[in-house]
Amino acid sequence: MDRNTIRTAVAAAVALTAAWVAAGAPITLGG
Amino acid sequence: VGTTFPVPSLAPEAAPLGLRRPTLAVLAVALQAAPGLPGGHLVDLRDGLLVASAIAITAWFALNLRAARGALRVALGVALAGGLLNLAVMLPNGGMPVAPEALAEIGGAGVDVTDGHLYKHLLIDDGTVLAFLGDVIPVRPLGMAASVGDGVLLAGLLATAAVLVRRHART
Repeated sequence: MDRNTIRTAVAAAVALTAAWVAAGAPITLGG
Repeated sequence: VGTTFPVPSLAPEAAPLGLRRPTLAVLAVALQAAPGLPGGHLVDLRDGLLVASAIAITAWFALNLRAARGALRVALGVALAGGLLNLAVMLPNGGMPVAPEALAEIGGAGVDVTDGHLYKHLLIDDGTVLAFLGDVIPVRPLGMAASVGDGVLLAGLLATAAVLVRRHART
């Protein structure tokens, strides 16, 4: 896997996680 | 004779594998978390920050949906629908209403939901509208109370990840 692919994958994972945190609203104890 | 012409590929795989503008999604999270900064100077701005965050994440979905094709577009559309379900209940109530019963189910009876938790929750009361779209589903193993919109959002985001991985595997 080349560096560009890794960078793209990491950016996508960050974006999806951020979308879950920003658009989702579950309340988690301790969160 | 013997000359070949490049044929542009219109297949979905020709689209960029990643998602566009990840920083916009990260900005949406930062806007929600801002009231938690030391000093608490931004707590009074929590409503405005929440609206700004909603605009940022909706814009992120919109520009990625515009660029996406095929299964990726469907998956992102499902995720956006989940996010909009959450917004539908948050906007008229000024935050995500949480059912005290669901909170008790996960061992959080009496917890102040307005303090922390990305500053976007409040308890359901008699004045709450569309309460069924609030955090009314206890997910005990995760210590979490979730909404219908959260479920739809999560399904869409997981499908998005699956489509991206599959497209990468094909290239």
